[in-house]
Amino acid sequence: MKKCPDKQLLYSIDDPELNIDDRVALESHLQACPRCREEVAAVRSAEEAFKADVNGIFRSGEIRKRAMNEIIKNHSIEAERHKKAKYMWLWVLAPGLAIVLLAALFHAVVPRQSTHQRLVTCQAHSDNAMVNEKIYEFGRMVELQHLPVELNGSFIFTSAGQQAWSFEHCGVSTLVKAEQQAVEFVKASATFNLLSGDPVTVKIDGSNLVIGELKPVDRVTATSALETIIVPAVASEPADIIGDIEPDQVMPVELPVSSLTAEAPENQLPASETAPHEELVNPFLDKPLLINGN
Amino acid sequence: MNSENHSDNEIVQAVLAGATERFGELLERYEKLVFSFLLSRLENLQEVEDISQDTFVKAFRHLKSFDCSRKFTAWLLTIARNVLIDHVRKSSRSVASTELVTEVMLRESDNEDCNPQMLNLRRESWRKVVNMINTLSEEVRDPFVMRVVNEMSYQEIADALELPLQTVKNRIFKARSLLREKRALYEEMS
Ligand SMILES: [Zn+2]
Repeated sequence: MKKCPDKQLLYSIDDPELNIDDRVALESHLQACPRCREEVAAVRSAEEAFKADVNGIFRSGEIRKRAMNEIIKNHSIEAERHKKAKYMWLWVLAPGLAIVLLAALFHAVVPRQSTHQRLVTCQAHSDNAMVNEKIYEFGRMVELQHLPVELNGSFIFTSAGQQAWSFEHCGVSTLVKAEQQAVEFVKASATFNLLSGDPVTVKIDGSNLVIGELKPVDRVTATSALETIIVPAVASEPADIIGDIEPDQVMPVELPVSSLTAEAPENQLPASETAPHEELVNPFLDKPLLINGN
Repeated sequence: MNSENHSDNEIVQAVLAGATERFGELLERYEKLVFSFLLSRLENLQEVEDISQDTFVKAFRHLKSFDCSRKFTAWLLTIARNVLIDHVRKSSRSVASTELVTEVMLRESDNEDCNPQMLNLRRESWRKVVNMINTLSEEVRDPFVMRVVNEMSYQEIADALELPLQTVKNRIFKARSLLREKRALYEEMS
């Protein structure tokens, strides 16, 4: 290539799709021609600068964390609504139609695993949580397809099926089963706290453990804290059903941030929600927003 | 872009079969694509993150309607466009007025609570990104951003934007030419 190549070819030097003949010719030309070299370097450095700036404003994992929280929360609400709607239906029909009642009862009692999705999810809930000795950053979902997995740290288990619940696992254990009716751990040295929904029975090394009821609290100390006060269940070998727990063992548990923000009016988000999302305004945007892709 | 073993379609099928948590893999794969796609279309970064989040939540909700013969990225970006249109309609401001921008910028300068240094760095990057995007004509922005920021191949870009391959190549070339012309200006800003 004696003559300088056209710019379209010149600018495509970094593109893997460039065919081998063009590439060889282009590279040998670039070695010989400082002007083209400079041209390529200029475009390249502008692109690198642009990329670095976008990376500077993109918070990796942030959107994933927030979207997954929202998805899991919506899933739980949906399941809860589904459950309520089912019983409402039953209530309307029951007085007149005994047969329908029986059918509906049957419908409600018989678990329908096959028609339900496997709705248990597990999410890392601290920055140093580990799965199979690998660090899982806060918010990352744990793959439940291939069990067992070793858990170390804080994880939130959520079920959004016929039984909606969510509990926190804190400590070390091996998760061997994660289905709605059967969550099972072995080699557990962990605490389990119910965060919301129905009490959950899990299996620890073959024994049943009921993860605490949401215990009513003293009306004087907290009238609206029912949802945030739980009875912690402690699993140490051998696991056992948790009986009465002294009030001083009751400790508050922070609900996942997403559940706290869900009902908050748009303009009154908690400080913790608004603080990290500083408003950075596009100062050049003085024309209509572009809503059409191309 | 898909360096992982599972294709988008395989993951979609797994999610539809009940493995909700695997939707996180699609998020991991495409959160930056959606984020950078919305960059040139919104007036502040928080909105970019919010609309990106809503895009994925909506995609999850409507996953059943995803047609596997189509590229997942194309479908996802269609959702992003729709969410954006809804957002603009709801906020009933199709034009960002100068007053509004000034007001939010003042509020922003008050907000020195969490790590002001980081905030300044981000603000500076944001200014440069916007400046750069504004040097590009509308039609070339998406292919260029996908190529440079998301390192997508021409074919992946063509699939995602549902454009002919040659059109994508021409637009990226055009973007690079524009960029070259305005480079001196851009460096001044940096
Ligand atoms: Zn030359």
